[in-house]
Amino acid sequence: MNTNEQKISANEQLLVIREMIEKTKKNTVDNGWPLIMWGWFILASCIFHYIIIFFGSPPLSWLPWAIFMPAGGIVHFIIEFKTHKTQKILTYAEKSIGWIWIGCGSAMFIIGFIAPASGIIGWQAITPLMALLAGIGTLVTSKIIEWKFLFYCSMLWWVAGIATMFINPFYHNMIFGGVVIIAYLIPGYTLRKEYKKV
Amino acid sequence: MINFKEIDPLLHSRIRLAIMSLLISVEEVDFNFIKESTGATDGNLSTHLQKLNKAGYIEIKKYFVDNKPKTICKISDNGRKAFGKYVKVLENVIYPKNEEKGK
Repeated sequence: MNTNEQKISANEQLLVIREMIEKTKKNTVDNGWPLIMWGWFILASCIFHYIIIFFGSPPLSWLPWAIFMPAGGIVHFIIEFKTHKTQKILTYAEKSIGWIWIGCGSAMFIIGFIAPASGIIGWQAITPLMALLAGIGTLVTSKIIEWKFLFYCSMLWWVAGIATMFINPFYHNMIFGGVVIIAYLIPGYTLRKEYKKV
Repeated sequence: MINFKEIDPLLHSRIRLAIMSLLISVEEVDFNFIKESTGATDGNLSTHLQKLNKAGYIEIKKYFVDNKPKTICKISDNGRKAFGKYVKVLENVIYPKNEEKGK
C-alpha cells in the first residue's frame, strides 16, 4: 500500500470523519482553571474587604480589589500565554469563551475602577453591575459548553445582581463572595475533575 | 448519477481526509496532535500537510517554543469549502436517493 495515496470507500470515509471529530471532542474538555483562579482572587478580595473594615479602616476597603483584580489579570495573562504556546489544540468554543470573558472583564474593569472615579456611578452600584456582567459571561459559557449547572450559576449571578440593588451595600461583598463559591469555584473544580478523567 | 469528476482527488486519501476532518472542527491544531490522531509518521504527515497547504486548503504556522520547533495547522476558507463540497458528494454516493429527490 502506498501510504501517501491510500484510497478508501465512501463508508470508510464517513467513519474517518466521525472518528477524527470525536478525537477533537475528547481533547477539548475545559479544565476550568480561569473559574478557579478568578474564584479565589475574588473571594480573597471579599474577605480582605471585611478584614479592613473590621480593623477600622473602612475608607480603604476598596484596596484589596485594587490589588487582587489587576494581579488576577496579570496571572491570567501569563497562564494563558504559556498555555497557548504549548497547547496542542484550540477549539472555536475556547476562542469564543475567551473573547466573551475578555469583553466582560474589560467592562468590569471600567465599571469597577474608571466609572466610580469619574463620579458617573456611585460605588454602591459596582457590585450589582459586576454580578450582571459575571452572569452574562457565565450564561454564554454555559451555552457554548452545554452545561446546565453553569446556566443555573448565571441565573444566580443575576439574582444576586438584582438582590444587591435592594440590600444594604455593607452586605454586598458577602453575597458576592458566596455566589463566587457557588458559581465560579464549584463549577471550576467540577470541570477540573472531569478534565482529569478524560 | 454520481459525477466522479466532482470528487476532489486531494481529499480522496485517508490521511488527508483525516487531517481535514480534524481541522474542520477546531480553530487550530498542533502537528503532534495530528500525528497522534492519524497514526501517521512525521515524514508522511509532512508530505500530506504540504500538499494541502499547496492547494490552499490549510495554513501552516511554524515557530519556536523553548527552542523547540512547533507547527500549527489551520483550515483555510478554501479548505472549508472544499471539505463541505466533498462531504456533499460523499453523501450523494452513500444516499443516492437524496440526490434524486433534490432534482
